[in-house]
Amino acid sequence: MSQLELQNVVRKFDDKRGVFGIDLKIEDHEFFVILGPSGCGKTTTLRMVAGLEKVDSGKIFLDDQEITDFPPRMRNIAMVFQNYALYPFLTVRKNIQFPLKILKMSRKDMDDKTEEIAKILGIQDLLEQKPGEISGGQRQRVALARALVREPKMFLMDEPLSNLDAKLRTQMRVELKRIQKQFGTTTLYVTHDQVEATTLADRAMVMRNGRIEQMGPPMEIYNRPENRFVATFVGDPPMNMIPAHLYESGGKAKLKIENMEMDIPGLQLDAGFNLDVIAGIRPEDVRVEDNGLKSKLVVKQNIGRAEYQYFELNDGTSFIRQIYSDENLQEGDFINIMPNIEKLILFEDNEGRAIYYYGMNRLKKVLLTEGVRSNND
Amino acid sequence: MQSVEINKNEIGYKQENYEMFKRNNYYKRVRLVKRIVSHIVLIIFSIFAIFPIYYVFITSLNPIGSLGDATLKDLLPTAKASLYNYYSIIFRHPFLLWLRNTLFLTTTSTLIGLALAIISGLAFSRFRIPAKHALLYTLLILTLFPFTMLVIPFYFMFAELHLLNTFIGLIIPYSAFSLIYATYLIKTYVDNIPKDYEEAAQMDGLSRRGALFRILVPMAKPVIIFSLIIAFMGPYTDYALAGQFLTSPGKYTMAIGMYYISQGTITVNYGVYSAFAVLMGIPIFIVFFVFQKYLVSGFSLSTYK
Repeated sequence: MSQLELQNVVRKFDDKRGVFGIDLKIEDHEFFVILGPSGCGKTTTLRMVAGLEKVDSGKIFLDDQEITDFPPRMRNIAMVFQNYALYPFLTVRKNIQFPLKILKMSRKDMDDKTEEIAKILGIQDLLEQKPGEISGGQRQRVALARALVREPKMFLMDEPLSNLDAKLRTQMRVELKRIQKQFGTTTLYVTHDQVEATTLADRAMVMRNGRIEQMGPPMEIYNRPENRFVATFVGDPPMNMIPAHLYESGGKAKLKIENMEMDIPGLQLDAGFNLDVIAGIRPEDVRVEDNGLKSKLVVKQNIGRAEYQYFELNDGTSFIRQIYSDENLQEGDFINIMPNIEKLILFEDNEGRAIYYYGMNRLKKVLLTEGVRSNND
Repeated sequence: MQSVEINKNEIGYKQENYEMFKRNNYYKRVRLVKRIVSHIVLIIFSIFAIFPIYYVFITSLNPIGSLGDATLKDLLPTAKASLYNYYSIIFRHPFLLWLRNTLFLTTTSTLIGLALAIISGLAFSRFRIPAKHALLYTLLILTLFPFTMLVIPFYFMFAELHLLNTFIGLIIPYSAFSLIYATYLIKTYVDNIPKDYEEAAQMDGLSRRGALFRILVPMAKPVIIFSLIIAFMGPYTDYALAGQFLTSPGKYTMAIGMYYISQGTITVNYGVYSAFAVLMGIPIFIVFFVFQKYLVSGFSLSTYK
């Protein structure tokens, strides 16, 4: 049973770097991922929860106990580091037992627990070896074992998979999720890899420049990004951002991209409404259609299971399309492409906030800024 | 006709091939010459390094009258070679007492110096200290002063404190001197150890101080042992300070004892001198041999990746 709550937590390194007010509540058993580019404050946030970083203002609660100023050892939180931080002078067994030894557990109990954990993680055969003698993936497991062994209230993980090669990373992702579910320990996980976020998280939070950009289940973040930053950061290849014009004509909402016009069914706009917007379209939501946008295929990239096609529109805007079937297109060919209206997202032009997801009948109410007219309800 | 043309082509091809072979061979020879030259240079310098040691060893066995009488023949064991010089040093002089004094002085001052150096090295590496850089540069500059230069000021200082002719009077300057560069060495080494290890230890339940001593100290073992050996060498071979400070023969160290017994009334007894040098060298040799691993890693200051 453990819940973590952060109330307006601030840690300022200078005017630009740091964490500027994070409010967050992580429920019991939840796997929560903080996602963001380097320097966004995600690791700082994690370290404040760990107690390794001072909190300038705000409060941190673990199970209704304020722990803002607790030293790390009094928090009963375990952490897995990016480089694993296994003690190189101790054997794997001693490494795993280290937290138990500090708790002054008896030799027999320690050995029993170590064997049990080692079995779960499949590292029974490594117990007498030194960390320097085992592989990266094995070290990762030992680090996990050391975190699991004392049954902490919470796990913190700081990019634990980023030192592994691609294949092992995929495998450890599955394993991490399985272990977390098995132990049910509340987990806070930090990464810059959006695939880790979408595969592991029950809920995720995207951060930028020390602030929260969006929080929610990963698929919701993927499908309904709240702004252009989140839209392009989550998803690989990133979401296409195409300048467009949204206007009302004959009682219908219409979107114009270059010389192509399309209806947006169901959306109601005031008479005479018109606004420059950015249309967000995922690479997998683009199809070929005769009356679509004329575009030139510049580069093809085959990644095996899919193909990425890089297009250029008339005005030079670049555009990525992802397809799974083989189309006999050559670089330099022109085709007409059309976004899937069901997946269309519109962003306001200057601040980049999302104003429309498919299916809404009104534009989303966003803070009034120049350029967004108050046609919304 | 046709067959002639084919032959021409074949010759052309072969010549091209030969040119290629010649050029490749040229670089092969260059590599060989480079290796030979570097080995010759290394051999010459090792002769300079090894010969004096051999000379001391052989002189300790062969009786020679004086340096002037020494000939090339004395460089090989003669019929008169014996272990008498060793016997004389160990059994006819208070060698064991001097050895005990020396070991007591060196171990105490080394341990005190290193204990303080570990604390200050860790502090310099991990804590915020006012004027840290100024202090570090001061340390660095202090290591450049020759120890011998400090003998006279130390003498006045310790005379005032009534610490002349006492072991404490030697232990203090000895440990102070080893403290200076051991601090610097340990600081540099610990700087290269990622903070993650202490932080992991804190997450595992240790206090900040506990993490420093139970994680960083074992991790810094190579540099600590390296510093221990360097710190040991100074007092072990010191003559300048001990020779001035110690006046009663019962407190003599080996270095003073060596001077004392090898100095004849008119001439220097080179046999005794050399035998003493060999005896003093044995413990150093053993220490270096046992801790070779740490010495190598200490020199390169290599840390955990």
